Amino acid sequence: MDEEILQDYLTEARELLEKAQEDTLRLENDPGDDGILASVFRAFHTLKGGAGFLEADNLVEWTHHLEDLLDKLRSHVLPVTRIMIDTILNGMDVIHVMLEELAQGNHPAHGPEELSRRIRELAAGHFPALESDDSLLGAGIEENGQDSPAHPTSTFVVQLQAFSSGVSSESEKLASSNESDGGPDGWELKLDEKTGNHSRGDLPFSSTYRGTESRIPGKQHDHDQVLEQFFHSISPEPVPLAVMTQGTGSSTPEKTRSTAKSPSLDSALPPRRPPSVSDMSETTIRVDSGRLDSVINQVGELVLLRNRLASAVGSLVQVNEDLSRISREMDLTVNDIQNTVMHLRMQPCKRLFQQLPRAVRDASRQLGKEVRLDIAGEEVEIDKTVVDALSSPITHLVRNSLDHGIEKPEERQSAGKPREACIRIAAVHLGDKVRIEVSDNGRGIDRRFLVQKALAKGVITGEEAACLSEQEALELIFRPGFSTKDKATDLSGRGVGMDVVKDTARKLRGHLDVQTRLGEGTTISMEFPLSMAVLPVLYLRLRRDIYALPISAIESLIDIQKGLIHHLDGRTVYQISGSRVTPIVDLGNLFHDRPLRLEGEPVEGILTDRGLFMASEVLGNEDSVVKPIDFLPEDKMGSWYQGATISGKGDVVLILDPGTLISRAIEQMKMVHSRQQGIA
Amino acid sequence: MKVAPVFEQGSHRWWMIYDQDERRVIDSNVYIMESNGQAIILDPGGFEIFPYVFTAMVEVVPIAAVKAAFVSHQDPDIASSLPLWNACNDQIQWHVPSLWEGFIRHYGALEAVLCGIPDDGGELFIGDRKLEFIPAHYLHASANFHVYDAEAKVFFSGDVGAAILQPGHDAWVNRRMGGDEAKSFDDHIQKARYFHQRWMPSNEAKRDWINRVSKLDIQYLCPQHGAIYSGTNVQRFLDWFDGLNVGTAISR
Amino acid sequence: MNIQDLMELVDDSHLVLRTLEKSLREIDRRALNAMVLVKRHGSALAGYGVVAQAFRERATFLTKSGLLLHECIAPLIQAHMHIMQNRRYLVIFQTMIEELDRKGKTSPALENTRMNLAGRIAIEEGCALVILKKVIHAAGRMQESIAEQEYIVTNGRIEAALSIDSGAPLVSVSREMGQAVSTVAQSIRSYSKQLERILHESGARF
Repeated sequence: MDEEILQDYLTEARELLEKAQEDTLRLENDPGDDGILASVFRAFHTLKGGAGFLEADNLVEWTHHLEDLLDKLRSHVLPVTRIMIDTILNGMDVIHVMLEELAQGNHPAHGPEELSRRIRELAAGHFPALESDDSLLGAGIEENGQDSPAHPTSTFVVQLQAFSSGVSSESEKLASSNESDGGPDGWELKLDEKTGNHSRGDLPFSSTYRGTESRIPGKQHDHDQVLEQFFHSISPEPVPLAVMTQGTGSSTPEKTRSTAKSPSLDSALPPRRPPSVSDMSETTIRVDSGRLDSVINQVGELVLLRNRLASAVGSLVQVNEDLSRISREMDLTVNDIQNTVMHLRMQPCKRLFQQLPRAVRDASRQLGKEVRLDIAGEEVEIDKTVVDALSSPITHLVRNSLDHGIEKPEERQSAGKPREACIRIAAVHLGDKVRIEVSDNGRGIDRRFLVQKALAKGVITGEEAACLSEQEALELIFRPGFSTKDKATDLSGRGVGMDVVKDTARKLRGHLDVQTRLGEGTTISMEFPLSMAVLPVLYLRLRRDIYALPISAIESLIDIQKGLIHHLDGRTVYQISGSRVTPIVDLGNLFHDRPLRLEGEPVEGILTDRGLFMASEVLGNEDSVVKPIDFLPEDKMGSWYQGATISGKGDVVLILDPGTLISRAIEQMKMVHSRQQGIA
Repeated sequence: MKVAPVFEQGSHRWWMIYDQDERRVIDSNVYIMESNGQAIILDPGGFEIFPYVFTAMVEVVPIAAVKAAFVSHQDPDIASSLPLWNACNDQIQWHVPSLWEGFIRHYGALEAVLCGIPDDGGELFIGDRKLEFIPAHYLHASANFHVYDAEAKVFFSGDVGAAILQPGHDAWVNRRMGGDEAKSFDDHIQKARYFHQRWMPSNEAKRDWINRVSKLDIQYLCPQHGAIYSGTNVQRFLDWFDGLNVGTAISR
Repeated sequence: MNIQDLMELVDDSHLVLRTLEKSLREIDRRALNAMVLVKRHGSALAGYGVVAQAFRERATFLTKSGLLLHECIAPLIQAHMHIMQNRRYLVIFQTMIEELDRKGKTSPALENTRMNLAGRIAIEEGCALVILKKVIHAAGRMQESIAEQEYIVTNGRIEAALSIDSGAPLVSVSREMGQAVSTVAQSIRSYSKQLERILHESGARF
């Protein structure tokens, strides 16, 4: 197998498969959409072509059967049913597995026989029509179908033939070469779009097919729409349609309709070649992500050097105008490079979300729940690392929500809620962060229940349980080994999920938050830095040591007033404003076991979204690059450090993790408090 | 001269002015204690080093804040700057051993306000903090006092604990030898030995003083020459002093 | 300089240094706060970022010129204290000479010492004047620095007004920057005035 061809194929195949799965799910809501059907069909066809080229025979065979089935759906020989969609989706899962086998350099094994048989049977028309839970999708169309006469297949064919005769010689040449297979992908794609249509007229009508004919959805006046969609899916321009309408002549009522819809079609434009792969390559280029990572790393080094240069120039005794100007310009240029490279790594959240409709569909059916999935902010871009790393945690969150959060339809009804629950996934751009939220309108999380479970499982002690705040009780779900389900279900409840989600978020320098209202629902939100490539940090001094804090965590710097520090139930808090208090953490206490003396040595306050830190001095900020550290042991609460960086002065500086520090400090305060109470 | 903070808790502060520029006279430390905007200067130093002490002092305390001065005994390295201070601020009250009043006036400033400290000591409020005058007679002067601030745990020990150090010396005994307190002490005390053996006349006075001072909670023992003993080195010094034979000029 | 003026100068110097120390820290904190705010808004506040960066750079510069001022104040005070010390001796010799004079006696050695001392004092006063001019220069530099800082604050206000849609509290940040700068400005201005007056009086005597 040619490695390069294989890699190209795999990348394209995965994308095709993802898109096809998305389309198939859309089909469930819109079974009459021929454009979608055509697209899924093409996907299987292209997958098959490439697989043939790679001599992955089992994959060829598998995709062939699916292609066959789709061909019949798309030509309305067979209706779209739930079972069909289930089967297609399952079939896709098999392709996914086969692709993974290919990626590992193996020839894929046979697909599961039972599913294979099912696909073939369905394609042959042996399907349990309206049996059990299967139903014909698109009830509206079905009803209309009763009113309209049996759909005029002949018109369809005529139109297509007219189209064939109307296209340019080049297209004809393409059409005539439809027997050949395995040409370059781009061409192949175009080819089968046309041949696929062309062959409709030649379809052998089997008896089974005829038997179901009356139920095939479709109406005469839908045809131009069907065709329009079909052609739109080939080319964004309506040109071929214009060719077609010219060819069909003015006698067909469809022509009037279509021209009325798009007047520009009347202009006699020369037939144009649909965009090919070579056209696409002018604007996009596929780059191995490894190369991109090296660029990022090299820019990282450049950033560090820039910082060192700026620092060196800044500390010159004699100000050198030339050098200063060069340094400033270098600063700006490196900033630009940084921005550009940062954007190279950015990907839309769509890539993260696209797996969710399928997950929700499968899980809700398995659990007998009715769920609508709302997705917002697919276009919001975030660092590739986050997209990659978050893929399984977000699925876990959604499944968790389905399993634990959302009630059965009957339960919802009796609670006065609509039967259909809603899971909302949203990505929002917030300055230098992106927030990703998974929320549901289910039953919410019962804190008392959590505490009981945690006690029963020995995750916490009775003493600890007594002094848990509401939020802390809620955060029990993130404790390792915690699961609220007694019996592990297929979906979640194995108790290995939420702690992993939290850990992933932390490793991505993110911040995870859970909000819940009993009976109303739960929202889990995660905030991530926009880019993982650069990390703006604030340097701070703690006595003689220097540390860095990520700026994304910092709200402001404040002058700490002794009178605003309060002690409540063994916690030290600081009053930020009238009603706002936040935990205050003395880094001197935490790192040196020696509290900073507020009026005895310099103390500066750094307010973060999790709490207020006390340090000796804030030194300044820098756009830095994180270097991972592996020499620091992590304990059960995770490391205090997010990594290390090299400051402009060339020193290695540890980057603190504010979230972990605050939790640690609170833990410590509690321990001291309970010890003191024990003494009292 | 340099200024080093000794203790700081809100408006309650202690500083040491040390490492003098003028090397022709014995190197002396001057201490300042401030509380709530009022200050006292302890053993304000000799006439010759006055410009340096003054300049260093106004870095941390405005001259108008100085309400009082303390003079442990009559020596010139301690009190000969009196007329100059008095010229700058004639409101300063001078707390001097009663026994030495008439002697001290010899430095000039006949019009300065002198308050005699009786032999058994006394106390004084600066801002809202109390200072105690602890008798230390014959260590070395026949009328001699030390000052104790119980809240700050600072003990001003006059000539007791004094060491003759090189120019550029550190303010603290502890902060040398890589932070090893015991080692720093052993190294430092060599420079204090002869001073104590020769200038301190009485083993009996020494024992009496140790008995009383050992009962005080002291974090910083601040001598008028040399460096400050802090933490464990305070006890280390008391033990060392206890074992030292003094008055060696006659008992040899 | 008479002793009252001298003590007033000493106290005002103390005050101005304290104010500088506190305000410069405040200015730096404001500058850092603005930088944090800008960084946290991604590229939306790039314009204000330039202002915040400049403000911080100027703040560093201001701190440096504050340090320079601080460094020449101490020698000024020390010089005057030396003069005062020597005047003290001068008074003693003067009294002795007057005493001898009354008894119709003279002592050329004593007269010589007095003359030497008076000469030394004159030299010291000359030195003190040079130092005073240095201090005035440093204070002037400081005022220039503050003027530039005020200019940046004004730019900041404009930028803040322009990016009001960003939702970032730039207007209040700019106002706080302005307040911190104006505290220093006032303190230095009145200090400079006093120095000028002293210079004027010293100049008149020389």
